[in-house]
Amino acid sequence: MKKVSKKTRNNTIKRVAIAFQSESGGGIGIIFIGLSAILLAFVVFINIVDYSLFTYKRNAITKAMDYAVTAAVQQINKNQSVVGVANGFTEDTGKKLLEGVEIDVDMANRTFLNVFYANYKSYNLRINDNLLICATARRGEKLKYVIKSGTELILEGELENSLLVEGRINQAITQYWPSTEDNAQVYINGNLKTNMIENGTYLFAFINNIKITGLYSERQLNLSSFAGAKLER
Amino acid sequence: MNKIYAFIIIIPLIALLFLKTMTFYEFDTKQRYIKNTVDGVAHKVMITGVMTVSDKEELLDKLQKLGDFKDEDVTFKCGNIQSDGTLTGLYSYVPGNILDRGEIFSIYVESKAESTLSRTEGNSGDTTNKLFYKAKAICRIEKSQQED
Repeated sequence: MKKVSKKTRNNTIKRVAIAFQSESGGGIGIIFIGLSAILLAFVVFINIVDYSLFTYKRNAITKAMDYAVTAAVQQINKNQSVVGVANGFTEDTGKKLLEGVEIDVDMANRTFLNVFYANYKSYNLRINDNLLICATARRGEKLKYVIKSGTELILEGELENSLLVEGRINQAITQYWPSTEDNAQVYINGNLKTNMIENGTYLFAFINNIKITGLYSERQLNLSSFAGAKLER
Repeated sequence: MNKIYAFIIIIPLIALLFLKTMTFYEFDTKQRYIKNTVDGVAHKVMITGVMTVSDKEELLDKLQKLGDFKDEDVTFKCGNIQSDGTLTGLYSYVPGNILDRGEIFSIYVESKAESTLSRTEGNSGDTTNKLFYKAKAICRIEKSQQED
């Protein structure tokens, strides 16, 4: 490494000192540096405010979704379900039967939207066309599922195992929104042993690509939530 | 002399920015705490079906630590979901009443006093621009009160 002589270094310091101390340029230099620092701080501040507003809105939306899904899951279709104490228990063991209790998906959809908007209302947030709802019900050893968006039926059928629901929901998402990216997939099962869906009455809600605006920037999000019917006879 | 002018410009700007940051931070943090508090209470009612008088006092205690909240600034409502899925016709809820599965419970809080952030903006004359601490939560009771 080249050693800088003491003399040269002293000269440089002198020149810098003259530039800042001279009557003509000193004040301007400080104003320039000061204003740049303030501008930088201002930009950082604006970004913090933007992100802070975004996270506040996002948290409120996810909470509204939780309330909405727990409200919607209670919309049991009594005409299609096995109702009554006589039908609700097995004759052999006396245990509660939780099969054949179905959710009215159209009503669940309406309830979801009403409870959601009651909790979070914003003039530029509409989720009606971005909402996908999947209802499951136990039919003997099989699991019946219905996936709808609004009143449009996307997929319907019966599954051998509740593990397969995740695949069906993801299939419905890519089928209904073909341009959806890979990351817009739901993961319900961590692995076979932590399967969160049992063979029963459940409701899943998925909101595809909603746009949340902070102070100025707009971010897109996919949100999902689900709830069990917590049936009691 | 020029340096004095420089500081006359820069220091007030820094102070202004600092003040804005502080007031915004205060508003944001308090608003989040208030929303969380309200959500916590709503969730409890969702699971148990009842909001006791002591729950209400606890809620007011927590809110009063965060802002200027009086008894009348907190409103509780309850009602049923209509057959078309709408939530109209909610009526006021008296703490201690037991709600059944399927009923709707709502909490709405709004502070009496305007937030500091709003006051520092200097448009207090215009009531539509005032910023208050507000939060609401509307949930549906999950607990069935019928005995097996």
